[in-house]
Amino acid sequence: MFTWLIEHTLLLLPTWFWFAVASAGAVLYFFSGVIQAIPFTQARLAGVSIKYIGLALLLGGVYLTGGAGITALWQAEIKAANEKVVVAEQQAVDANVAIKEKIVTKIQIVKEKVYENNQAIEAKRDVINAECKLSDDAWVLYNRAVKNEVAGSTSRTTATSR
Amino acid sequence: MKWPAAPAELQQPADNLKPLPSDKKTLADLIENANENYGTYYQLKERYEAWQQWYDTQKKIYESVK
Repeated sequence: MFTWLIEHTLLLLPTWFWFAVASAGAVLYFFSGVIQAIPFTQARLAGVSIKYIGLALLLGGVYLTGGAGITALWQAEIKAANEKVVVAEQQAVDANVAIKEKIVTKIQIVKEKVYENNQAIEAKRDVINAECKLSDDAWVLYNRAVKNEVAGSTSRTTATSR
Repeated sequence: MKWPAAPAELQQPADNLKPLPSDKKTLADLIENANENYGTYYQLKERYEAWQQWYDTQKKIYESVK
């Protein structure tokens, strides 16, 4: 938990922060040499301490600058991918709505045509029937065709003639 | 990205063709019945084509995210 917290806290810091730390480390490292050149024992000791502190900051800063840069790249990639997904999901929804509207309209047109044809048949029913009457055999055969059956069978088949 | 659900209009079961009732044996009844059955066929044809369009469209969208 603690490690996770530290890692995430470090990754939340911007890249420039770690760059600044590394730069500060470099500056300290450089000036430690200057301080060590002062001819006092205390200054020399302080210079050595500052040198190691500067070196640690420089190395740590460089390491974390790289890490933060890579993290920033991945975060940018993830953000771009998420945006792409959001756009694609909206496109999918829009496509569904368009196809739904299209199929509803087309089926309505088919139904209207069936209705109009039925009206025309009704209008001419007497004329049509005056010229022909269906025999019982014709009725049976027609219904077999409708139900996809043959003589002696009651089950439908999906077989096709090839 | 999740694969989207198809519109409910496409998921309705296919209607069966209607046979001629035994009290309807005139030519006009036959034509009327054939007209209705053809209508059923054309509705299914439209739904079948819509399914194809739906799949092609969603596949393109889905693959654009990969």
